[in-house]
Amino acid sequence: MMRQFPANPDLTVEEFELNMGPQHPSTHGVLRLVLTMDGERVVRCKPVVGYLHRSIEKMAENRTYTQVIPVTDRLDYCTSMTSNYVYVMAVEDLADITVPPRAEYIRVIMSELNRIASHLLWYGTFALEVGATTPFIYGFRDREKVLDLFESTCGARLLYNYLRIGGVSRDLPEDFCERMLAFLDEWEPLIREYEDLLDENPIFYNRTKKVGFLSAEKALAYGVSGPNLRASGMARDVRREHPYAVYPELEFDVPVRTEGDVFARYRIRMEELRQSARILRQCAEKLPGGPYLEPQPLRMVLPEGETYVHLESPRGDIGCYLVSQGTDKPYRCKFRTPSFCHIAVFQHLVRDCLIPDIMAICASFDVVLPETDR
Amino acid sequence: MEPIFEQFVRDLTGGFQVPFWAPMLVSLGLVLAFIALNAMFMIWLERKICGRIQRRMGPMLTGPKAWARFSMWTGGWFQTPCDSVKLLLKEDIIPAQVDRFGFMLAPVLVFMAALAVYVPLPISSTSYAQSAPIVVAVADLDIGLLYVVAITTLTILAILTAGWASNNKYSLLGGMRAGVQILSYEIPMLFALMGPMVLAGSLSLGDLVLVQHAGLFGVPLLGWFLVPSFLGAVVYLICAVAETNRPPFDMPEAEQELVAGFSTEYTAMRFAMFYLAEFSNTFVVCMIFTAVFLGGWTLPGFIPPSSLNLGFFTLPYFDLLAGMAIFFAKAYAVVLLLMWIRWTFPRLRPDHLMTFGWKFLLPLSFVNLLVCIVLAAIQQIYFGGNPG
Repeated sequence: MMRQFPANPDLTVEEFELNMGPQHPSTHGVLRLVLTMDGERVVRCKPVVGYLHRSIEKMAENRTYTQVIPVTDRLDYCTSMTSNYVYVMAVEDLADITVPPRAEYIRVIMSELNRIASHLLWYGTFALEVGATTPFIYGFRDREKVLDLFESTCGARLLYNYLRIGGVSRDLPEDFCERMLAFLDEWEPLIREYEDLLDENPIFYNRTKKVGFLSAEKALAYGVSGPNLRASGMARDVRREHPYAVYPELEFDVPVRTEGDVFARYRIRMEELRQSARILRQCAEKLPGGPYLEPQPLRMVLPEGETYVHLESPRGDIGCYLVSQGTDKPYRCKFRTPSFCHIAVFQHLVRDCLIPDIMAICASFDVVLPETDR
Repeated sequence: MEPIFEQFVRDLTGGFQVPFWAPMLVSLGLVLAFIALNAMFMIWLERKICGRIQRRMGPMLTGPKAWARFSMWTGGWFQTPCDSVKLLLKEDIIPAQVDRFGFMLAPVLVFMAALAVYVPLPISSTSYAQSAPIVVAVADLDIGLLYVVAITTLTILAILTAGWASNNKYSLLGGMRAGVQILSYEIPMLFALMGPMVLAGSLSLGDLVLVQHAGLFGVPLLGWFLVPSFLGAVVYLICAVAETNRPPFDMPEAEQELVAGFSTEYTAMRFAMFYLAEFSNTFVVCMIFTAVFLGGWTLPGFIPPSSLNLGFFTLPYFDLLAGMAIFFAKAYAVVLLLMWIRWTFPRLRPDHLMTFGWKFLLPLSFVNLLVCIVLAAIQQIYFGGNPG
């Protein structure tokens, strides 16, 4: 669109297209944003996804039910545990398998630890997007300790492949709870340290307050979930609304804020770190003995039928729709991933923002591209 | 430089008269060597400080292993030389679509400005107890302060050229941001520097230092312009950081937004020129701050003798050397402050930066100027003449 330059009618001003990504330092993977810019101001933003498409859902159709688990690891590299979990839960639901209580607790411990790891990674990258380098290192430093806990449990640090249909692949190491509690004792005061670096900094405050406002209506309309929805004033949490595993037995708060801006989304995640720690402490206390796995045949055949289960991943409401036709392979395995919805709504928020705001808003949604494209 | 150099050569050779061009060549060589070596050290220091702030050790693997074992501050000494060699050996790429002339001119221009700004910076002097101390600078210009401000602005011209010539939208945005930034910050900076100018009644950096040593209202420590012109010092420091494009004011090359801003298309030595100039400019800012606000090479109540008798050996030019040591110690203290800011602050947004510059810093610098005028008047009326 051309328009006349106000100061000199002989000159025209033209909008230009800026192609941000797929290779860009801050698009968290390979998101491509086609921006129509008026100087530094964004007129339109068109996200282009699909650069990371690995046809995970199609791959799932050609593998036995057990073989799909490592594929779900690759859904979201920041929270492999919850991706494992949602798939395993769908299979168990369809096959009507009861999971031993110890395994349920282990799964909750793993999800919450993974939530901490994911939020720490988010904290680091988010701060990096607004231009602060030090929080990045702080976040990664402590995430490392969570990864050590995972490593001692299942031998992997990123793609765990830990959950099994009917339980988990192996029991927790003997001293796991002590080490976890030691980590929590050491780490919980550090949350204050993270906040000290950003919270009261006027630069950070100005860059995040009243930026990227998302109303509750719009959030619901676009299927936004998780911390992003709770930052817009909706107290929705799958752990509360459709409790799974042992969550009904655990005490925790669902932090809510009403501002709906980048700062609120940041604060929500900081609060969730504390709540996760609280859940973990209770789990360590209540962890029962007994078997950790209800062994299943390696090549299990599921009865005909379909199911949809969902749970709360660090990014939001992740769902799995599983259809069985009575064979050893899923007929359809569809994942409903939160990041996809977040990218969809994100393009409406960056309108009339400046380039730096794009980064802040995009990062505040905690978008993970492998999960979007699947 | 000239008088000191001539005196030095005379002392050394017993009366040899140096040709007129010799001091210029020597000072050019000295400044070039200083820029390169100092930038290398600063980059190493920056990485170490950054490491310390982020609870890691920074570069540790290059250099003598035995040193690295001792502590984090002794490791990785060869990191920057290695990096420099790497940059020198990299392929120099000029993308096909760029404006070749501008693309090649920009790094030279930026380095030229970084080099030229060293001319009036005074780093020491012969004993200032004398009535006419000789200031050590390439040339202690009468309009030194004005010259420095004018030359540092050239850097932005080079960055704009680089942004335009690169034929890349990110580069262009980076260049434009740099232009906007300098417009918003040059003015408060000048007004902040006018406070000390008024107090000293001179634009020569050498004079500024000597006036500060003389003190205000007869009190030596008050004379450091940091005290009477405190607001000015704060405003100057903020504006100067903004002008050198250091974080948190690094919008022209904001990695997360503009990839690498104006230097996106640059490789190898051309990129190194920008990098070198940036670190050189940062140090220049600290040097100016030291000279204008921190009393330069002087310490209150300390006047070094012109030579120091060590018993077995008499150290000549002791006043010069002590002055330099004091000057660089102060300048590096400011460098450390800047590094601390850099590694703990998020980046500003361009429009916030402008608001901050025009609506906050500019009025603040006016207030500072007013305070300085009042103080200078009091000094004039009750203590006679300029503080000096």
